[in-house]
Amino acid sequence: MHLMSPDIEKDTIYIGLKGFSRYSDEFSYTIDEINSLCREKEVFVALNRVKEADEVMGVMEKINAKGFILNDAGTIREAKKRFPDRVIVASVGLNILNELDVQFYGDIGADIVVIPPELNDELKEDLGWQLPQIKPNQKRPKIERFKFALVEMFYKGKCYLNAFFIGKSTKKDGVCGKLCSRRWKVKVILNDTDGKDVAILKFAPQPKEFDVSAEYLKIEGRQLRKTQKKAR
Amino acid sequence: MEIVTNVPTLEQLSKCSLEPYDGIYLGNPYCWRYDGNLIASDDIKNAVELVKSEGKKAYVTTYAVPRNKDLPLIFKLIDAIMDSDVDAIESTNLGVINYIKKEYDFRVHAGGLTNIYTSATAELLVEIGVERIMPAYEISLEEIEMIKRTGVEIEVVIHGKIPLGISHNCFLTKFEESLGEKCPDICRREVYFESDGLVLKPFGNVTLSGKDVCMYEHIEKLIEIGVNAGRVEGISERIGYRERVGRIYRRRLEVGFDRKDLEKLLSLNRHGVCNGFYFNRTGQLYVGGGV
Repeated sequence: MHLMSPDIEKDTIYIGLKGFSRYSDEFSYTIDEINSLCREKEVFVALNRVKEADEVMGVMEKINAKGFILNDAGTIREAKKRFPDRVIVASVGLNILNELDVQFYGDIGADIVVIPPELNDELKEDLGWQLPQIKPNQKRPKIERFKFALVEMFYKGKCYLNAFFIGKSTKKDGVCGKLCSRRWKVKVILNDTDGKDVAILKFAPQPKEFDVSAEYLKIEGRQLRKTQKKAR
Repeated sequence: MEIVTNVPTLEQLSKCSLEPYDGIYLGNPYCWRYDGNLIASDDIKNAVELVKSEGKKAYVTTYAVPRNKDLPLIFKLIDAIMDSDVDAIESTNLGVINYIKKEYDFRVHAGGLTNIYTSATAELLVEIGVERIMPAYEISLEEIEMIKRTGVEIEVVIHGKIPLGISHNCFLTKFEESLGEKCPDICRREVYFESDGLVLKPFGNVTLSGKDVCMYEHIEKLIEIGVNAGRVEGISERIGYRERVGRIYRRRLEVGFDRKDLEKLLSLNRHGVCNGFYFNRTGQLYVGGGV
């Protein structure tokens, strides 16, 4: 079992590249900083803002990391073709939900797939579980699960609130305006009137620790400040 | 350009006019428990026959976020589809899409929640054999044009509420007590989440935009970039909505722009209209014909 942590004091770390990873660039690193860390540690670099594959290949060429976390199926396939010796991780943003997904991402070149934290609640439903329709696949990638995660309003990678209301896409621009955390009035429309307020809701991300096992375990937190990380 | 829409149940199918449409997506991809949902019932064959008897294409959708426990129901649906005169299956799950192409080599449409943002992913899907894709809801017309260069058929939403997120559970069921109704009846209530002018419409596991995307003023642009199908997204709407909107877009394609038709469209939704992400601007803005 390997632990993937955003804490750069650990031996195996995952960090973001400025301009290419989700969440604020404030917590990301430059190519030089990453290459310097690569001399001492096992580094996985999140290139999980969705960009055209050529642009992503361009930066992968310059980084000496052990692996890359990618968020686009076509880019994963291209990356494995171009860099067969690097570990390719299919990001949680790809919303890999079932055994057919796991096999698909293995077929196109992912070495590790990250499973959404929402599936940890029904962990007994192992992704290795099979139906007669699902044929064994030799390229089945390794599974990475969240040991600690912020469980959000929507599946990670399936939220378009930011682009719709603020004009910046979380997936493409890496920015999250935390719109889910606002106070939302729940209004029900009765007989074509303006409606009646029935509740107030917030969908703020909920930090959650999971008792799970997997080949890789992830501690989410690249977007958290150092003090918050230490508190954990 | 084909005009298509979606109808979740046999009851709604038999009550609404399909006349303005070229193709119908059958079933509600956002909730298995939706009352009468064609993807979970034995009515699918009858629904397909009804659609075909009107000379329309019958497409069947599948559950949007399938976990392992959902796969047996999807396999059962695929078997029923193979036994019917269906023209294509829609899926938003790459594992399921890959399975259908490998095992059945059946026509597949990749839906809007498949997360197709790049031409690299579109090329991959074309190689697998996917015939039509609906690009991710949050990309621009320029990006859609790049995806079109792969040669794949493109479908986009021309009118209606678009998904802004999908969850592992249903938000409406939290209000069973306060709304005095239980699942699945609660889904028939019109419920909105509102926050300082921002509006969302929860519906099963999906949360839709409160505003309707409206591309009435931009049909020529869509045709110019090679869009093959325009969808009227009516999954959460009352029965008459599909017919009214469909007729207006049919006239738009066959006769041309009519200000009165545009005004009708603008008045149909209590929360107004927008242009989504097509023009690289904030999705909920309506930029009109001045782009």
